[in-house]
Amino acid sequence: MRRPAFLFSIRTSAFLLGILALLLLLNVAVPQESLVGREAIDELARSGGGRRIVFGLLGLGNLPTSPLFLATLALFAANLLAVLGARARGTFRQAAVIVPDEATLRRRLAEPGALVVPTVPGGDGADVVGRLRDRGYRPYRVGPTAIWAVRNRTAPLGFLLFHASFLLLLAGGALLFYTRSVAKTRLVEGQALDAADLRYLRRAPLPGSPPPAVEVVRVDPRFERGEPIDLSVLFRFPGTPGREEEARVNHPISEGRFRLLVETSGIAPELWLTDGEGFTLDRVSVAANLGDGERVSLPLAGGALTASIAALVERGGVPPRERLDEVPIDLELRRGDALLFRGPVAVGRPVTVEGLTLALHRNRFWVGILLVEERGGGLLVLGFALGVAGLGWRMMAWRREVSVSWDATEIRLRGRAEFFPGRFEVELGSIAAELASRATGERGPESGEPS
Amino acid sequence: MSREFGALFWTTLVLYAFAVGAQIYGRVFEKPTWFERPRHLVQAGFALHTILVAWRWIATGHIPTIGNFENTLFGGWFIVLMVVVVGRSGRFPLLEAGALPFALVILGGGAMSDTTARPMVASLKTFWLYIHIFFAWLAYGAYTIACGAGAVYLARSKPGRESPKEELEQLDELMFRATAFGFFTDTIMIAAGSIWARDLWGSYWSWDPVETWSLLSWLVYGLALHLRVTLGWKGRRLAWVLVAAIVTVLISFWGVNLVMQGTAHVFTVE
Repeated sequence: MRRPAFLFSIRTSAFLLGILALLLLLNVAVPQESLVGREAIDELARSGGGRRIVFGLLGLGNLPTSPLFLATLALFAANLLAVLGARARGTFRQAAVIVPDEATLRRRLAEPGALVVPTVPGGDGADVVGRLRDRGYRPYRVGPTAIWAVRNRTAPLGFLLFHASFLLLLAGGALLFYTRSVAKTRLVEGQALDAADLRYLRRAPLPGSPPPAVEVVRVDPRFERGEPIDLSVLFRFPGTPGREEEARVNHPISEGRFRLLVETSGIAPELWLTDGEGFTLDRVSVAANLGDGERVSLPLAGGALTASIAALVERGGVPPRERLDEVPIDLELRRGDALLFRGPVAVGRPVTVEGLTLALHRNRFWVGILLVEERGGGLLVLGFALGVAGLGWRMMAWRREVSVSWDATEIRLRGRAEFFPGRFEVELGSIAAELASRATGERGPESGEPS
Repeated sequence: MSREFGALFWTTLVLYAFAVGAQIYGRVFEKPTWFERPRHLVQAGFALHTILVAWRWIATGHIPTIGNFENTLFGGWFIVLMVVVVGRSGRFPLLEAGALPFALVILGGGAMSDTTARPMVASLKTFWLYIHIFFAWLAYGAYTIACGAGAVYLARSKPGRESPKEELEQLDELMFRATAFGFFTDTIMIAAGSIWARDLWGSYWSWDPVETWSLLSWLVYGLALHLRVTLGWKGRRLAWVLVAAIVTVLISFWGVNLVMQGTAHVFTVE
């Protein structure tokens, strides 16, 4: 069966690169699910006409999972594999040492364009070899008075490595897609992670592991001029006695296949509800939002009452721990639809309504965490590393060859480089100039006299 | 910014602008001596620019990368640095006229932003920041050089008014080398950014608009290299590609933040 020519063609690669670029352009031009939400995209898909094709059939409202994008990526991977396979042998051959025979070398040097410099009388070419070695060339004797030298012989392999790394990136990406779960929650100081409180942003298609057992010991946010300059959180792992670890922004901690990232923090008021005789009816901590953020509602006394609170702190103005209890809350207390109380409540100043006393006992910090479970990151990082290495190897180490022959009066040089002919011409010229200056220096006595 | 800082800033921009204007004047009125002199203006401007960057760094206590103003100040410095380094040999007349306008646009745009100094926020406290932005600016600087060389090539290869073949070949080689260097540093920038994103946002790639545009520009320049290396595109054809491709760089750095909502890329602190 004849192999499909388009699959093995570099032109196809260039074409597919262009298509991928176009699709990425659509990703920023067309509303995306990650920004506008699933419902908005479904609405657009239902609205008919061209939108039904764009958002429905082609799925461009979520480019990473769009059939068009995935098909292009699959074709790109197939083309990459095909081209790599087809070119690997040629590339290895290109990187091999193929020393020309003396006749071929001399024929090349006889052609116009070779550089000619005066030779050292009686020289055996050792200075030529030395000069070439100093510049990183590997010389090979072709004849008694002829040398062929190559520099960065293996450089072409860098391209193979760079392009092969894409396969690792694609494999890593696929593994991540099938194994990645992301969940968010807020934990108050002293609180343990409860799987029931996790809000999943993404669930992996493949089954994952149960969340790790972890609890928050201490949260330390720091602000400067209203900007969040640090957030460090100390976690305890009940499953591993004595294990405590600190996570900070940009410095997540790992537990098995999970990574725990700390994202945000805020104030968590602790409310106590007591009856007229002083018996505690309820005690609850809640992760409140700051300033003009959304109010947090919570049931009290088994649902008989509903409290809605917000911390009365300007966004970004969380005070240090020693002044935390100075922060009042804005409270709204209801029994059903009936409003019982609305107003500020501070530590040490409880409110009494219908014989019940609601007190702000103290404030603590809460931390917003991101819990990520995934596999495939290692492949991705390896792909990055090999890709960069291959590209650097190729770009910086371009292959060059130099052919040299000499006789009693002159040295002839000629070379070729796969890239940057102008720069190579300069290099060849400087090699010739070095040889010429050495010959001139050794010509102090007249030619023929002992040196 | 303080009055003194502002005076120095605008003096720098004026020096760059004069250099560009002088070289264009030299080209239009065919006065080759006007290609060389402006180089000294650029060097003088660059010296002042360096003082500005150092001043801002010392005043804020951190690398100047927070907010649009600092980003453009530092990024513009990198672009001019590369123009100065590449142009010092004098082998590429008019390079400054081709490449510096981008630095001027970026710096001018940054000057319209809020210049208030801000503390280094938690999300930027990582060594990946330095790797990511260092290679980002090397890449953008190299792409600017490639675009500038392309613009100069187009200007000096107009049928009937071609420059000597050797000069055009040198410009062609500069286009290729700058693109190759830019692509290499761009690759490192994207890789470093992805690894950083994993630690900061929990995901190697979020299809954030800035991420998507930077990948798009990487693909475009990869395509340009393919066109050159495997399909043999040279000269005017490649020059047009590189002049057009810079648009993707401008948008990924600048345009996204100006026009689009919903990017998590922390160029500004809100």
